[in-house]
Amino acid sequence: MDADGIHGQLDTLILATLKRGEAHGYAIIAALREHSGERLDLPSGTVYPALRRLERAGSISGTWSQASGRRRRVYSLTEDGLKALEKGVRDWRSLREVMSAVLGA
Amino acid sequence: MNDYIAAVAAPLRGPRRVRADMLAEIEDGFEEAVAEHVAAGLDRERAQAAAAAEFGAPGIVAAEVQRELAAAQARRTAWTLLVTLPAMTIMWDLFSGDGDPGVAVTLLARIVDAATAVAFGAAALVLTGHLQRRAASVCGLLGLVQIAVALGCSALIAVVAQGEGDAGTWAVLAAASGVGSALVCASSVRALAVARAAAA
Repeated sequence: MDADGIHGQLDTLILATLKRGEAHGYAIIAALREHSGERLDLPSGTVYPALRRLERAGSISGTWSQASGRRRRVYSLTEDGLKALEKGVRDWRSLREVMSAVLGA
Repeated sequence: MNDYIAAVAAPLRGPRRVRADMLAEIEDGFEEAVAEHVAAGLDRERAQAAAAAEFGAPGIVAAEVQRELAAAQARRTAWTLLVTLPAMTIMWDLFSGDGDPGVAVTLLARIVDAATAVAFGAAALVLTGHLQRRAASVCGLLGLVQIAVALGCSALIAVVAQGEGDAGTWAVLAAASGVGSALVCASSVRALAVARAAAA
């Protein structure tokens, strides 16, 4: 799936990734790649501004931490983020149902 | 800073600290990607090219980063409006004296109050998260409109009220308004510039 196909769902995917536990940007990128079976082909640099946007919305919180000599910004899901994730999943399911119904799949 | 991060950074405009912070984070990730490719056997140059291909065209990443910078700048300008405008209004109220200033001055003062209220209201909406789209443009524009209206009306009030009040009071008012206007102006212009970069 390319960047256009994933547009609008990236937030939900990031939130779902962080539900498994806190992570820094590159770990999130790696997790997205791994869990999609390498099928998710998005410009991974755009994940970083997306993280800032989600942080601004209060869905995640990020802090710089020094781990094994490397400075990293680590993110974790907030209560609001959990709700946003649940809504994202609901929205995706209903969109999928609509598509399936109309396409007759 | 490596070539890729420099290319992302080049077109960015906005609050310096936020910009540096975001770039540092992207650079960390980029270096991690490069290290992964080096570990997989590529030389550093090829590893950097592979990481750059993964991260996407610098322009695409920069555009997303710029949107965040515009949001950060909008909040800064909104704070400037929220603090400076009431301070200037209070100054004018404190020093304007108790006497009846006449219809003309009262009307001009009400016009300033209206422009102030609009800019203050927009700033409050931005800071409470109720106004997000075009927040930087709105704050910048309304900030400049408020200053233009305030300066224009103040000049007229000075003409109408000529001779009234002592010179010291006028000097204090002019100095306070000047400082406040300069602050609002600078922040508003910055917000408009950052918003323009985000729209480009």
